[in-house]
Amino acid sequence: MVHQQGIKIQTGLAVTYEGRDPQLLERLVPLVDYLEVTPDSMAISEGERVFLDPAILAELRNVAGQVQFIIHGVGLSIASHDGYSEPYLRLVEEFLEHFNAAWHSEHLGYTMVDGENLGTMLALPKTRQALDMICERVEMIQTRYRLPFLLENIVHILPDYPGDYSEAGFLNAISERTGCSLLLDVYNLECDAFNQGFDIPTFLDELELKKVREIHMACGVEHHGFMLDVHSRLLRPSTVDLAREVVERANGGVWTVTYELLPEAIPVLGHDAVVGEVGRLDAIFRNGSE
Amino acid sequence: MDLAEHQRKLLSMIKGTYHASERDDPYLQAVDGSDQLEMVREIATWWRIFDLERYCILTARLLKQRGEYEASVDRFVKTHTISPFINELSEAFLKDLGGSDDRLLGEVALFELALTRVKRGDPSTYTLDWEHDPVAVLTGIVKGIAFEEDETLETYRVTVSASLPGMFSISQIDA
Repeated sequence: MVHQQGIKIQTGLAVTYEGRDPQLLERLVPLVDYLEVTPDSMAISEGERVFLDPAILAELRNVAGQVQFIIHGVGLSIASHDGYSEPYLRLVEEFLEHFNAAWHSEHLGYTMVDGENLGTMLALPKTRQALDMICERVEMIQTRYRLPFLLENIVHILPDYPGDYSEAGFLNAISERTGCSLLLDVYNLECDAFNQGFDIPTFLDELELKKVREIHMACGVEHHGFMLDVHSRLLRPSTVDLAREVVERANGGVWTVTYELLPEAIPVLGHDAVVGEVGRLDAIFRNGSE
Repeated sequence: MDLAEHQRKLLSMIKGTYHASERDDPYLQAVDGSDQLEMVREIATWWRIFDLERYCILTARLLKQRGEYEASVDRFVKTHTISPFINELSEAFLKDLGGSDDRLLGEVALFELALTRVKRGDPSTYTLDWEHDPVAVLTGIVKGIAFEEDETLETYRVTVSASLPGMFSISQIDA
């Protein structure tokens, strides 16, 4: 893509993959730089033991020489008051025993409270107390894995708690204190704008965009007056435009843009449509043809 | 604001086991009973609907053919602890339906549970007695065509084991 000042800015391209669809994998791999995998979605739990599905590991092994992997979790629950998920981190470690990963990312939210699954993910109040807790955990993760670690903004269905920081201010503070980078989900921003009246331009003006290393793009559905991030559709033009704006303003700092799609959506959309969408993103973000 | 108390109360509010009172933080009072909280509950069920449809294929299809799938998942989510791991969640869902008074649903759920375990390497042999014709039922589910849900006069034995071709066999038990 061509920067406003005439400089061509390229970024990588990634797509999410949760396994069990090797025919799609074979078609996607030549189109992307990275495959984003979610250890939780690849996991099998047997009693106390949680491990990665060997069948999915075998699928990934088949393409390991052709693409780099990114680890993107949903189950770390970094913002739980009672601690993050050790079983999730063990899955990360198991993955790293098999493959190299370019980086590791997680959501700035929580899915568990006192060991009980919420069934969804919630944002934490952006207070000084919460900032200290998150920074301590981010530093632990960075020390433990020696991999770049990125934190992602999540969607807010519940209104934000009136804390000490704005959304961007909280992300900036974590990044500044720990050195971690950011994963910006632009579709989540659009959902927040629709659901909560969130001001995206003000957020982007405040956010340290040079810390954004990855951008997530997705599309969901509108339901009962809410826009939901269910990752079930092809992308809306506004989402792609927002991603392009961030890539430009980050001025070469973004390593990749990632198209997120739920496995459940793939039979509905069909392989051709998914591959076509990834090809379109390739043209926009890597070849600058649109 | 105490983070632990805040998160515990939100969890209980999502589960519907706690309602904010005047003594609670104004934020919790505003969230309680809001459309947003109801949507959070609905989303939690949605994710399970997506997950279980992928992993409990036969049982989900049977429930969908009857128009009962989403309500079944909703009831399950509201009455059980939900595992973050899909195979554990699926097992719990199938076990729950396996104990149902609805015999056909129970037969299909327990068959799928046994098949899932065996496919994952369980060396056990499972013997399940059906009061419906398994061939007609399973064909109907897989092909999405209507089949007779009434119990038959015959009893069938379904055996699920990794040692069997196709991992299961069906025989008729003499009356």
